[in-house]
Amino acid sequence: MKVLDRSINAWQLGILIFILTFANKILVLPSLLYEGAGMEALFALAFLCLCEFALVLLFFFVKKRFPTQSLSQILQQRLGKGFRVVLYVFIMLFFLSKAVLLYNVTYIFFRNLIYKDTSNFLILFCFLPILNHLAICGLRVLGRTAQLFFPVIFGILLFCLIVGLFGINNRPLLFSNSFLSVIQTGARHISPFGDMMFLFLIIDRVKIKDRQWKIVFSLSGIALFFVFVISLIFMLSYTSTCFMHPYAIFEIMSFVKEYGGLGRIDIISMVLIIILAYFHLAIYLKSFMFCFKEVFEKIDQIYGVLTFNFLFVVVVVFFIVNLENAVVFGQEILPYASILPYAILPLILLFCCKNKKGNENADFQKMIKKHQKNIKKPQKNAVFCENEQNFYEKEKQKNVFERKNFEKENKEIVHLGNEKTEKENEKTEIFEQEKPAKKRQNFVRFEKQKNVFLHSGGEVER
Amino acid sequence: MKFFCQQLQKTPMLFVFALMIVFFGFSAVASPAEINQYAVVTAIGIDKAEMEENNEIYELTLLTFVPVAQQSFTEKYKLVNGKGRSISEAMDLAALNIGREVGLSHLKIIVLSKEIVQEGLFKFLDYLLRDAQISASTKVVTTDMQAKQFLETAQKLDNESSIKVSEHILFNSDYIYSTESTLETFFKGTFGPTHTGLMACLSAKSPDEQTMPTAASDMSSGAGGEQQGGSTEEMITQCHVYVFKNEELVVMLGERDMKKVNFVIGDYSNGSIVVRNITDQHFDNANLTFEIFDKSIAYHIVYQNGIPVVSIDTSLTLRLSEVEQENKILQENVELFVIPENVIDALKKKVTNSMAEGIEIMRENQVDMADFYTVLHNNNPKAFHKFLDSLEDPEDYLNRIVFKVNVRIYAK
Amino acid sequence: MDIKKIISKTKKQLHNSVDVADRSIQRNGVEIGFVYLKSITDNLIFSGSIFEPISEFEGELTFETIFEIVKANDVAEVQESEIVDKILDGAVIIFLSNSDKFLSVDILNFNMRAPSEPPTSPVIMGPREGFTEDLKTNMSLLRRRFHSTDLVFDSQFVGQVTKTKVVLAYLDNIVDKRIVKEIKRKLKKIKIDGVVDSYYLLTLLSSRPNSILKQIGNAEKPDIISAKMLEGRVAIIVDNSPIVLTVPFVFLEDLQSSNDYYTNYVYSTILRFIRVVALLLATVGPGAYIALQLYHYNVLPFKYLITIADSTQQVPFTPFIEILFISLLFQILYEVSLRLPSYLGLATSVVGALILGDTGVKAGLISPPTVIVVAIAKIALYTIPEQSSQITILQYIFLLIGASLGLLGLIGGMIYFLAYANSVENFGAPYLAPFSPFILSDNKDGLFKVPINKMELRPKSFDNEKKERME
Repeated sequence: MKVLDRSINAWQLGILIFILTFANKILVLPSLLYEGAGMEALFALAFLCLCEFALVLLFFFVKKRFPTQSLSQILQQRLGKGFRVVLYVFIMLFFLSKAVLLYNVTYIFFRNLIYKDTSNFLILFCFLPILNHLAICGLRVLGRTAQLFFPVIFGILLFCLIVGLFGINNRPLLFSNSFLSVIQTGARHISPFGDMMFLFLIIDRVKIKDRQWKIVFSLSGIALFFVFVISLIFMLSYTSTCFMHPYAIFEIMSFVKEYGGLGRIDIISMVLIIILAYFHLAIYLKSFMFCFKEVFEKIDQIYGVLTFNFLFVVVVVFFIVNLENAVVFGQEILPYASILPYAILPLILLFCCKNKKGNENADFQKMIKKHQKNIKKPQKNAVFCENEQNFYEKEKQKNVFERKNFEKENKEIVHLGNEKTEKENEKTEIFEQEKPAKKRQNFVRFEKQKNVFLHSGGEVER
Repeated sequence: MKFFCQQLQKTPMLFVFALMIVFFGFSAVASPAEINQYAVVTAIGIDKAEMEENNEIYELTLLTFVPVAQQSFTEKYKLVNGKGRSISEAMDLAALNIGREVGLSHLKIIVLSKEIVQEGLFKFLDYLLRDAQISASTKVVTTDMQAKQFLETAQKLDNESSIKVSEHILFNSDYIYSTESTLETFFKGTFGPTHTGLMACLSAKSPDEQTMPTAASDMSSGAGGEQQGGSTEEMITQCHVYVFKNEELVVMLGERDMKKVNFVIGDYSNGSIVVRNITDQHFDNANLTFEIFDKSIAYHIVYQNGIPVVSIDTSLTLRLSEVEQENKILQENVELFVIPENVIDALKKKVTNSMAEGIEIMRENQVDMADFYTVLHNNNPKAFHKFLDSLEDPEDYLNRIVFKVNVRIYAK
Repeated sequence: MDIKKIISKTKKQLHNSVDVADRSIQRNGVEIGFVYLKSITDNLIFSGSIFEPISEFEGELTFETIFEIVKANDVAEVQESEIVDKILDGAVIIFLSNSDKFLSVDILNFNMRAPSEPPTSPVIMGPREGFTEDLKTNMSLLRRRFHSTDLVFDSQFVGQVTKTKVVLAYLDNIVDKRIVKEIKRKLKKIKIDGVVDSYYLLTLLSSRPNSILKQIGNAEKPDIISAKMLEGRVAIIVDNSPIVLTVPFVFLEDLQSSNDYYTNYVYSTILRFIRVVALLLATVGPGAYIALQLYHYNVLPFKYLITIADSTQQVPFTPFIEILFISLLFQILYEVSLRLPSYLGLATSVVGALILGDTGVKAGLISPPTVIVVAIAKIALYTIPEQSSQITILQYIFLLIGASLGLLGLIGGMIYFLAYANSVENFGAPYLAPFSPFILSDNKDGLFKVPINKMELRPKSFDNEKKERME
């Protein structure tokens, strides 16, 4: 069993962001927000949505600044190893606790509405193997699977929105809450936000062209718009009875239950919640694994999965067993953890971006040095192709230097996965070692070669 | 075995998943359909029973769907009773009587007897609010008879003429009740700023007892017509709307009163208006009936000396549906006939009067059914709350507000 | 050369098989021997074109003269080691007592069925030719469609005993050579005694042979194969098999049908959506039904609830056993209708399904909704006949998941399975391309189909050269 983490493209990134925006935010959040600050809570929600979008923007700038580096490389070079490890431990715990919270909320939802009197274990064991599978298959498979489900998710969301519009028949009470209560409510319910931190963990595994950023931005914008509109529709449909209806996306469908003789269309929103919960939790697990890899560098990633499972089951089974606890946990404890995505990480990254010490060339030279140290030892990942499936890719790689017809030299560049790039780096490093005098020049040459190689796969990023 | 181990190493999660499936699969083989474990309840009636040992005892009547092994797929129902000191206790007892767990997910209607309503509703409704299975669109009605008796009648009616009580309410909601009378609408009113909840009241009567000819009773007599031979079978009739404020029954409003109130409330646009004794070049002492086609209401608020003045601008689109005059039939083109000015004036007067009466009903009982509170609040929160603070009894704001009614009529 | 000796040696090498024929004549002091296989050669050609000219020849018979007088075009000199192979290929070997050389004349001929419309993929409007078991015919069917020097046939032998000829057919200027190279490498690696049908290769060439996913395309019609070759795929023609394989394969190919290309494009789009719906119904339909019945009666609409509750009242089994029983019944009927001669098969399928289902319901053993659900699932399966076996397997898996874990497990299972399918890549083509990864230009012939004039590019789901179809 080997964890494969190959790169994802712009669409897949956008869709992961899209999925990451929902779940908790359209489940219990709107009801809690209304309880806190009435209709005015929408301002808090809008502000939080903008914060979430700001994280995506930050990701854009960091990615522009460091196109190939991973977060751990950025951190290590500028702030040292110790700091990096500590930060990663916190991020790891952050995602674990968010996963637990999300699981609890969805568990209560399932138990109340679709599984009557079912034990926690059935739902836990429905989730865990599938999450693990998604995480082990790697980022690319996760991205692709999410891409496959995206039309379903999008369609159902749109359907919910349209159907929800029929349910609005209220005159809401406006301007009844103070600005302070809005801020307080926003601060209290910040915990469903901040998931975009995941993006920084995969920053080196995203292959994205300049003109493709608009896909990412528009998808994340649409997602946040959906969150806002669903909350709006929910609040307008229920107003004073919001407290009776904890699950927003489900309730806006159930309000117009007898729609078109179909009977219970609320089952559609249940399906949506299930799909979102699966993907959301899988992304949390994936984030946990990335952090685990950085904290325990020498241990196989599989142990990250096992650790997550163990901690998850322990926390879920022994500490948080009902919605009240989960809500307390989400409202009292987790908001403090949101400092991490909204304050600490942006500050660190801004600092790193300003810091002139590290640019790609310097990194490159460091890599060479590191490689010089390691060159005598047989490298573990030198055996690149282990199974037959990879053989084909190996063939591709061999052909890089064989091919002579570069007809499409100036066409789009294709990215064929991270592993190959690493391999390429290795090659270049060896090349560098032989002629240290012409480092920069060779680097340029290598870039050219890489482009040629990348062309050979075809124009499309798959 | 070697193959198995290799595969296990390659795809461990497949095996874990398969293990889970097998583990739960064995229970699936033995588990019966959930439908057969639950008694699907479509209606609940709550009555008050005799006191026992100084405890109030409630009687619960559940209209339960009974599956019958046949291929015609008829809905067969059974009434089950349970008594207890609380609703949940009674529910448990009822479950014991059926021998199945009570499933409330398909509950359509909750019937409360008058005694219960007068006593205070909230201890009963709390149970219904907490159960996540019960949909918010479940109808809640009261009845002036025993809930049990009412359900028996309803069941009988249902079997014989397929007139459903919940459909009955839905149909009438626009005409009379001005509320859909669901859990949701009731709670929304009650927990809203006005604390005013509306609930429909139904009764079962035999046809000759009926006194109030309305659109709804026309419908139910139509249903009666389906029963052959015009038997003395009972049928559903509506009688009142119960208005609750702060958990207590404040007033019962009859159909005529509700009609007046409906003119003030924006959303409802069904019904008819009759103007009497019109005499002019077309008519000779005629009674004209107009059907309401469309209605729109706009509120305009100004504050004068700190007191809000609400002008209610109503515009009605009407259609002449009936002309009733002695010895004469109006010989005019039905489509192109222009309604004379004097008739329009009469209509205006009639509507204005009705609306004034409607507002008066609300004022008398201090029930803000039209939700003026929200309108005023949203218009100018500061001024409105200042006005409220200036009142001795803030609940009595309706009596202090000045209302102006403007009516515009488009008739053809 | 001692003719008798060499003939008996050759016959011994062929284990004195009964269809080995030998003949020797004396002519002007030269002894001439013939060895061939009666079963795969044409007797008339032998006597008319080879035996007659030689026996009637008046001059001195030498190797060179025989080479000239034989009335056949496939005449060649062979080495002693090749003799047996040539005989097995349908040649007659001529031995001369005054020469050390051997002459082989190809007179291969055996009865083959003519190309006819294959039962697996009938079309309403479109070519009705199908491949046959004869490699040559199959090659000719393809060659006829390409008047181009770019069509290349590349042969290889697979199977240590059968030595089956496998021909790779591709368009040289379109195909990605690495794919051809990779197939050849894989073919070379195959160590199997025999390849009886192309299905053997289908498994042997897959990157994940243990997987239930079908990873190599197959078709029985030359028009389909040539269309696929035009997209840059490699066709693998196996001797003695009417089924031609294509590589690389993506799932979409089975969603497409040749009918789609011979009708209106809007109609084909509708058909493709119907296929996807049918695919969903076939895989998760029974599972969803059992999940709703076992775990989520409360999400069923009331009217359906009444129907199901009423009709399942008399059934003596639990729902899971009931649905398994019916599925099994259908499967048995299917198997029987496939195995029996066609006239009997028709009788069993129609009569069996109707009578068994109807009496089962009447006897109270099974409930009508279950019969309907299973029947719909089983019928829906055949909207994508190429994948029917895979879907059947999935149907049972999802049935089990639905019964054991309910709706949550069902959706989880779908995610699991799709993630698994997404992790499969065959010859560089992601299995679920162009849906995931999403490739816009390929979706012109994906779930939606645009008119032919709008399909300007070759698929980008896998590697090929010369992207433009229209210039």
